[in-house]
Amino acid sequence: MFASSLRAAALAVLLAVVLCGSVSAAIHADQAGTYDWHKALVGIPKFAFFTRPVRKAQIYVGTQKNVIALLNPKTGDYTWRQVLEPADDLKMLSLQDQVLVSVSGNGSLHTRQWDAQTGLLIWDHEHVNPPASTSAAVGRVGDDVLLVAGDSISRLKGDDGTPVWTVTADSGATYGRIILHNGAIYVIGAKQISNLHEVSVLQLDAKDGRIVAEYQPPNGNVKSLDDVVFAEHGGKAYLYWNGAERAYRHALGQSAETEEVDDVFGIKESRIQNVYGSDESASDLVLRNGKRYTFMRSSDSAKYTFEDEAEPTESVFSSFKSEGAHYISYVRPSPSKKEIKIDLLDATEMKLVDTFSVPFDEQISGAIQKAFLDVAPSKDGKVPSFRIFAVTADGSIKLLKAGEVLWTREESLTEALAAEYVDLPERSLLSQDHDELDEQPQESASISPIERFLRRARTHVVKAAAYPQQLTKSIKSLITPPESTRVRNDLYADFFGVRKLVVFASKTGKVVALDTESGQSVWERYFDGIQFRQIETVRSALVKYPPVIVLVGQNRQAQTVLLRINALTGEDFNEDGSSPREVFPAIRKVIKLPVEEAAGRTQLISLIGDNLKVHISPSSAAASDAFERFAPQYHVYLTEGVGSSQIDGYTTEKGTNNKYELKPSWKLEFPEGEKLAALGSPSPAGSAVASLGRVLGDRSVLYKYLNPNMLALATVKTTGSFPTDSDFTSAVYTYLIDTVTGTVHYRSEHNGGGNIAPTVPSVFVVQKDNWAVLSYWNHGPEAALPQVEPPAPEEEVVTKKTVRKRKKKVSTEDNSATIPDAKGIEIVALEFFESSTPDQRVESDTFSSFQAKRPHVIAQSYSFPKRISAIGTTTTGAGITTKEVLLGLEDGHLYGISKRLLDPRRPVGAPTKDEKEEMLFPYRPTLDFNPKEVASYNLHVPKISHILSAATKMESTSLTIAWGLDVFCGRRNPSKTFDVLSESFNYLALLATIAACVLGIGFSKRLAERKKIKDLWR
Amino acid sequence: MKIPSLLLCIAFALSCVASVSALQAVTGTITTNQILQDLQDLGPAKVYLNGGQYVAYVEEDGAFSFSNVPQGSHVLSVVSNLYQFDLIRIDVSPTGIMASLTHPGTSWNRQGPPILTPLEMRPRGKFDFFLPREGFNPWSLLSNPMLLMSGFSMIMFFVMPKMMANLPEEVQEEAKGRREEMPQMPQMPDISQGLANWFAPQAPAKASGKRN
Repeated sequence: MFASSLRAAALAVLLAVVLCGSVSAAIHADQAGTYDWHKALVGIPKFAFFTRPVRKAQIYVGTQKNVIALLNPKTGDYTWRQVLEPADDLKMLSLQDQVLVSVSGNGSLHTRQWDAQTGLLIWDHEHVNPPASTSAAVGRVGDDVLLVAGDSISRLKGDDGTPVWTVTADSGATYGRIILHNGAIYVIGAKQISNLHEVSVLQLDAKDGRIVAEYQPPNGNVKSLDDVVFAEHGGKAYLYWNGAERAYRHALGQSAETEEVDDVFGIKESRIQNVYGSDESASDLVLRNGKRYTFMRSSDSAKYTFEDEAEPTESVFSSFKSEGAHYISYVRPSPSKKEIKIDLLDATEMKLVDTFSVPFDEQISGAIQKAFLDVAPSKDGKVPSFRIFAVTADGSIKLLKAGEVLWTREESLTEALAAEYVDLPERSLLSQDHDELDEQPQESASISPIERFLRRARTHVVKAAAYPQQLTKSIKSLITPPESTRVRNDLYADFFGVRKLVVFASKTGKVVALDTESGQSVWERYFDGIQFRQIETVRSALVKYPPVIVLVGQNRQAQTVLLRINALTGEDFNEDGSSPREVFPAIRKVIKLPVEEAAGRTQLISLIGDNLKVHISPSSAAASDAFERFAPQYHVYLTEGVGSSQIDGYTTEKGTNNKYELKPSWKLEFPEGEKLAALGSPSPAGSAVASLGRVLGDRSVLYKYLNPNMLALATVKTTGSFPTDSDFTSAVYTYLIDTVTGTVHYRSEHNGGGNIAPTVPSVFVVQKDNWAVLSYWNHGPEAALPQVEPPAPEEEVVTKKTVRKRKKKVSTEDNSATIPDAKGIEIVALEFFESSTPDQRVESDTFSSFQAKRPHVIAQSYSFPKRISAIGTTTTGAGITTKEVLLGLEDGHLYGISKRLLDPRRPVGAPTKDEKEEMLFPYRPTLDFNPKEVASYNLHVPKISHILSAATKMESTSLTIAWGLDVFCGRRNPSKTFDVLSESFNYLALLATIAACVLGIGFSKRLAERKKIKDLWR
Repeated sequence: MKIPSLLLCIAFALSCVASVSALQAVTGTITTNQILQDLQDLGPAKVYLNGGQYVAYVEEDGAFSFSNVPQGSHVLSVVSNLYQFDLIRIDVSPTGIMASLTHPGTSWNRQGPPILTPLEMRPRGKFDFFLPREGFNPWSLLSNPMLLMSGFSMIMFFVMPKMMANLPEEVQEEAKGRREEMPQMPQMPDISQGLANWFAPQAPAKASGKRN
């Protein structure tokens, strides 16, 4: 008895250790990379330079994600990358004579010179009066940098970026190109005259920036400035451009002269073809006549006409010039579309080196958009080896060489707006049971009981036969380390359910499915011209059918496209007879419905048109039947997204000719000046919640307000344009609204709160179960609104200001409590309960939004030392594990804060006995940064913009993917891995102990028997 | 402003820019110390003013600068994924700039200890993201409560009968009587007992009948 009570005590101690041990869930150093992977990306190149300064080739890129990076052509990895702010739009990247200069900004404009080898800053020049125009150009005079931004032209000192002179050209043209020729500076721009752009030339004196001449050459109509090509022939600088009908050329400095290219080169109907060079010096000239291409050597009249013909949109020319070598490459797809052909032309000899082919599937990557050539110097007359750096239409980048693709970087992932987990099917033979479960009643009735019994028996036999194999495998997996099974080709779920597919859909039209265990791509698809923004899983893999996802995108005609895809293979899904591709015009919102149609067991997708008509996909009779039944309870809310000032609620009703349409039911207009800044998303009904209430220290229960229609959102109200303006004020308002009735259940003001800057969104909301977490930047006392509404008496808001007030015991005026006293990120935790008194709840079997009962909302705010770029939560199978709020930090971390720290019930002041019993942490106004809570440990994962979690079969473990620029995938265990033995657990020792015990017992049994016999003989 | 006026004077005297203008330049360097011995180890770092309203990138020698900082109070932070830096409060006035140390959670109306400008930012610490791996320790195995418990009961198993045997007869009788008087608590089925019975030699029926 003594022992049993002791054992109970020990169990209690053990449980306590498991449940209330430290909140930290960090990993050990040697675990880094075993359960997680990281794809470090740079973005889709806007600017690229493939250069060969000394022997070694280098690739510099400036990307759409405002990243400047140096790539190593050997491996495809970056040597360095400099991640500029999201608001710091990269307008220009220039590489001339190994000097790397970038022009970037949005609002303010910065010109920066970077060390090309280390990626560190050399100097930074900020424009005092940044021009409104977006165009920029960079050139070089000696060591100095010439900069054109909008209509201002300046010469900056090469060593520190201080301006030597600045002139303003008030010609009304936008300039985008600088050409130096014979000591004069020519700035090329385009002047808009009605719908057309006219080439405009500005000639400057390099010394003092004096404008020498300004003119527009005749016949200078172009579509855009990108169509103007600069080339040098015989010591003269020429501009070439494609006019409406003919191509023209103009010698710089001779204002009145424009020649027709046809006449100059004797080629009829010639057009100028763009040639990608390794830097920004004079371009090579390739003329197109129909589908035939002719290369013109600059210095004389020598020319070479390529034999193969190709469409001008499909053929890409690039040139390479270095140390006397000069090559031209001509890349175009082969007629089969399974490979590309490359003609390499030695331009000094005017001789074709050879035609090469590279395997290249245009179905997966789209056409090559840009190509940059690098040729290694040939030794002793051999065929020179070349490499081509190619940017394809899907947003991936590749390095090609003769016969093979050296490497591919899937940079389209940086433009992914949506991702979705796909559970892999079970390998076990469960699907046969599901066959039976899935039968329609009529079908079941038609089968005789004997046959049914035989079928069941057969299933069991098959299962039994497969059992030994399964057993040996599970034993094997216990003994062998898990790493050996990381890369697998079969698509079946693993024992713990941590292996899934994650499908990314990007703005470029690329869809990639990655294996969450290894990070490797399982399948890829490319849809030309479709910008994806949403993915919905309409059928999971639990049944015998494959999982199906619907990709939602917009095509070039701004129509909404729905694509049905088999999530395991990436193939179009049309097994159930519905069409895999549906197009709908003028759609405002696409919502997945919690109903499935009977035939294919796929969930319905509803599309809400601009005219409030409701479309249903798939368009089968079964689907419309299912919707007919669901329609009475279908409520929708619509907003114009961030920046809008209202939110509308609708119900569904049958309109004319049996079509469903939305009928407005409520409308919430925010007070004057408030603009929507962030929207949460209500937890869907039936999501896993372990407990209906919170058990308090005195064993009473506070019941959670679990309303699937509760929406948390935040609005921002500002005055003044920029936070440093003297008249700037800002405030954030939190709302909790019921999306069925439009009732505002809660509203609170966070004075001084807002976005860090107009271009830096920093208000985020996440909600789950019965709580919401909001984060924003507090501008401090200077930006606080002068007049403050008194807080509603029933809302109990504890902020750090009140804490401090209590500590200082200073009696201040009433409204001073809402004047913020900090500058930095603040996080607010809100929790909703059915009642403010414990053990009281709504006396009803069902829960209705139309009840008059309002939730009891409590809130607490904390300051946090790091800037937040995204917010999400963990998800676990049964919801027992403590939740964790996941934050993307600007430092390059994925960070987890336990919900126990973001608990508005944390006691202010010394905790009482009951509060201690409830295991609440005492309130502190700050949440400290704890490096042990960094999910991405020492990896640099910058610019996280999305965080997505999925439950695994282990209750303790939540699979988490964060992306934005990089992609990071890992596991989070907010309550530690309480359901898994630690990996250091010694299975062999356990087995040995058991074996020893069995042996010992057998041995002592024999001894005991012998003793007994002896005793009997006595 | 609770700062002694003397300190204020010193801070103003030390502020680097003296020109009377609405915009001021804030400059500084990230410097090495015991924690960061080589700037090459710093990793990707930049400096934020007010959480990113103004951004400065780090030069090769660790220098950073904000050229046009308007009047008002600002908070400067170093963004680094590997090192911990102080938070600095910058007060820009037409006469100059003043820097002071601040901490998250302290009142913005109070200024911390002043700091020299141009700023010299030294890392306060290096983040340690990992839990230390506990090495195998036989002693920790022995100090396991379960093991201690079974060890204790093992010892009692041998010692108890001896102790009982040494007691005088009447005390033994008394103890036996007390045991029988005690109410029997309902007991959980004991797996280990069951296993032991299973392994034990099959005793005659009357022997097992003695057990409760």
